Amino acid sequence: MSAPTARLRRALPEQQFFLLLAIVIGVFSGLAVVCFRIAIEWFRLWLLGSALVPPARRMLLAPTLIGLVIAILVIRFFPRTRGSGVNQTKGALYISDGFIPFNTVIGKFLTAGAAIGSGHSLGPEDPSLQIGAGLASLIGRKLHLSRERLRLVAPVGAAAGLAAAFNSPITAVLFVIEEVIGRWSAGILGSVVLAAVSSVVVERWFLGEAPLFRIPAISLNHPGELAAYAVLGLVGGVAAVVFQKLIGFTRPLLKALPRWSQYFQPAVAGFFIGLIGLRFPQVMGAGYEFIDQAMHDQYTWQLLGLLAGFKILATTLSFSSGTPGGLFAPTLFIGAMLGGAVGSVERFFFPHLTVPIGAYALVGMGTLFAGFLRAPMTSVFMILEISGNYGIILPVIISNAIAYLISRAFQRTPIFDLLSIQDGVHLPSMEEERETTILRVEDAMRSPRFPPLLTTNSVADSIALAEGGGEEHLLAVDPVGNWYGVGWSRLLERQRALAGDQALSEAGLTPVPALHPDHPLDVALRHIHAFAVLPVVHRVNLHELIGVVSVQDIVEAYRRAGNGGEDLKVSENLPAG
Amino acid sequence: MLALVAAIAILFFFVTSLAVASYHAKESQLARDWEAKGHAFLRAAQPARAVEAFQTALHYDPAAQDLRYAMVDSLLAAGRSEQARSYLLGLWDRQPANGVINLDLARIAASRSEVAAATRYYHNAIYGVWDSAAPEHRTAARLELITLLLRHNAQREADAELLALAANASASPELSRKVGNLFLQAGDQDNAFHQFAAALKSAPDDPELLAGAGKAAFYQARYALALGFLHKAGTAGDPETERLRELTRLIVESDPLDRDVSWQVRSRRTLAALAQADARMQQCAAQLSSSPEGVPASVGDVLTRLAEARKHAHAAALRRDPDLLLSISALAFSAEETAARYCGPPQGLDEALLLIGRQHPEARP
Repeated sequence: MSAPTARLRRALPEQQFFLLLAIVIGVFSGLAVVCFRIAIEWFRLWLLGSALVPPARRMLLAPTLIGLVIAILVIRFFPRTRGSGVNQTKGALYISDGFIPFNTVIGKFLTAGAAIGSGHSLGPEDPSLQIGAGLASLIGRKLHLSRERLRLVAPVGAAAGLAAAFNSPITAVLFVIEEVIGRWSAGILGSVVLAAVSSVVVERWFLGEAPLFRIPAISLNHPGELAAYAVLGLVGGVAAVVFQKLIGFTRPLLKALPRWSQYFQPAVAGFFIGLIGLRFPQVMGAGYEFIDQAMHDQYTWQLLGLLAGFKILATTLSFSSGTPGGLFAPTLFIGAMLGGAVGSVERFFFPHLTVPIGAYALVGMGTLFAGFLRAPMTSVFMILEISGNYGIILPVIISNAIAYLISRAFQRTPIFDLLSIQDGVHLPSMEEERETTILRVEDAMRSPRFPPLLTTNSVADSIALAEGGGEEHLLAVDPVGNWYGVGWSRLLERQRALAGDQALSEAGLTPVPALHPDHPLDVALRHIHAFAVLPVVHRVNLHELIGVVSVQDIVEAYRRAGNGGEDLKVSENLPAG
Repeated sequence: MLALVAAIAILFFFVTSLAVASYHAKESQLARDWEAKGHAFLRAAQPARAVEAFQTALHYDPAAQDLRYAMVDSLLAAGRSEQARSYLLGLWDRQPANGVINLDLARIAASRSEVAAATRYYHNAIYGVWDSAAPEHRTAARLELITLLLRHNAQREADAELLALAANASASPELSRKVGNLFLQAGDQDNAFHQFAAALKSAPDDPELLAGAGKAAFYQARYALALGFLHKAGTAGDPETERLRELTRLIVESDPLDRDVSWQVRSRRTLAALAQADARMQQCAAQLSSSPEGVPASVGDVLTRLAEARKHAHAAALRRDPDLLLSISALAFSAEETAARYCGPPQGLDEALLLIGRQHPEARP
């Protein structure tokens, strides 16, 4: 480490240095993502030409030949660039202490850029997330960050990459917190937000402030319109399940084929996507311009439905074949098309509903995001952020919630967890963590057998009070509300030493922390070393003993909750070695 | 290390700037290329391909306003008015006061006979923002609105718009001619005549203005004045003007109650009117007798009165007795009205007599 860097690190507390570093990571990630997006466009121009609907020959040849090149690059040189990049970033956080090799960044940039530019049905967001995380990991390593900080630096870069790709910092922050890190803390949140904001500033500096889509004016004119959005949630939920099942079925099937076939899988997928593209060129690439057109009522409902269906097929082919690229953009595309289709059909049957098709397409995007990627909070805030319209919040929440519930009911494992399990890696499931019941002190405590001792009483009085209770570990409280522990044998010992009149406070009490019923049980475990039992007291009256809790009580509570069994099941599933 | 990071950041920034600048230059070039292709397709009457070309151009230059308008034009030319409308509504959301967008939306609404919506968008266009030649665009928008209103028989609303237009119109003879003609269509002959007359001050020999003034005077029943204008206008290749001139001439030369001619002429005209009306009624009765309903009693009554009148009507008697002249003339006018009611619109001298009768309240029964 150079002298100025060392001086800076000495001058700043580690937390503040990390915040400063988050800005640097954001700037680098923003620059990288801008280059990535430009690279995709150049690839597209070179491979497919400048027309929105490329010539048929190019549509067939470009994704096929590029698929072949990508397969060689991925298998021979950049094996970690397969897939979207979200799980790889989670893996860096939970498995490799934040380490992401720099050649993964280079590989992802080249292979994902070429794949999307050639028309493979994938998006640039997840690769941007991985590129950001990889850059952050490199910077963290070069600055010799501590292991804990190095582990966190990858998600910070991921947020920056995603924010620049989406041009939406809030969405990126929420997604990384919700899907990658899985917990909120001021330190992490501050770094993630700073990185996301600085990368978006850089991205807007170069590419302007124009949003990804032109959002039409939207308002909720009649409560009856909510029913229409509920139908959209239903359709979106079913589509999300179909999409998940298809990928979940096809990916391991293709992976199980002989190794030599993996050199040809992206090419074959590319050829089929080209075939689809001959009739529906909209399904090729990320497809943002076509989302925009769907939002502005440019397609019939039949075409919208077909586009959604073929996009699911094309994305399944591209992604399952191991072609590097993201799932975000295809998810948004499918959602927008389904939303537009549902809106058009509803407008046909209920012409009095005045909701524009763009509103359905917009809500549809969030619906698929919630149903397929299973990030419900991100999905709501994403729509709010890209629309800038709070009037849409109620339809979005209703539609997303329905899609999310349907998806959970019919596809137990979320897509990113499913992908990691298919790869033989058991990363923590953020959805499971969100839904794990938190045990609290009240779940473990038991009623005290007698009132607490008072430190102002004599030892003899205290013995008289506790006699017959059968407790070895006694609790006492002083007039201020501080709690102490004392052993029954200790009291007897003091009395035998003819010190029965001695005040209990002078009998060698051990200070113990008081718990409250709503404390997580984890807090009780941390403090139980102080004394064998801990008092559970009222939050308003610190003298009032509500219950006591011991190690046995805590263990019994965990046993009752059945968490130990779940943990065992997970570890049994771990691959050998 | 800090210096190295800063140096790399600056270098990265520079490289990114170059990459972005080169791509933006390429985008601009592609946008212009595709725009040129789009216009070429439009000129070649291939609107569907023009739509694709403009869509592609907009992909590379989404902020180009002229491309958006061209896109709308191509959509409309391709008959995809619904798409054009939704495209325009997207633009309207961001620029609700834009004159071009409102005018296009008004035209689409007008083509779908949505008069209220079209009127609203036309008004937005009239009072909206135009980048250049605002007065001309506003006038043109109002003219389109008036035409739409007239097409949908909203004469009163059209007249109100015409009055506003006339008040704001410049002294252009061309505009005055248009406004005058629209006033004529709206049934506002007085204002039509004023428009033409005012315009004739600056272009006294303009045949179209003269014809317009003649028509307006004709519909005001100022036939002598109308004949002057229509004569001066010449034929101008307009059959309607020609017809009106001939009709006006007949009216002026056939009026038996014209106080500016001698009694001798008036009696001659009365006898001619009676003969013409009698012939028209005979023809009408013959036509009606072949119909299942037969000849109505009122027609028979007029025929009887005509036959009676012909017995007493002589030039000398008419010259002597103004009351007889008036009653015979009134009978001739009444016969023309009856024939028009039962046997269809008259032509030539019959039409002239009908209009002469309506001009003279003293000759009504």
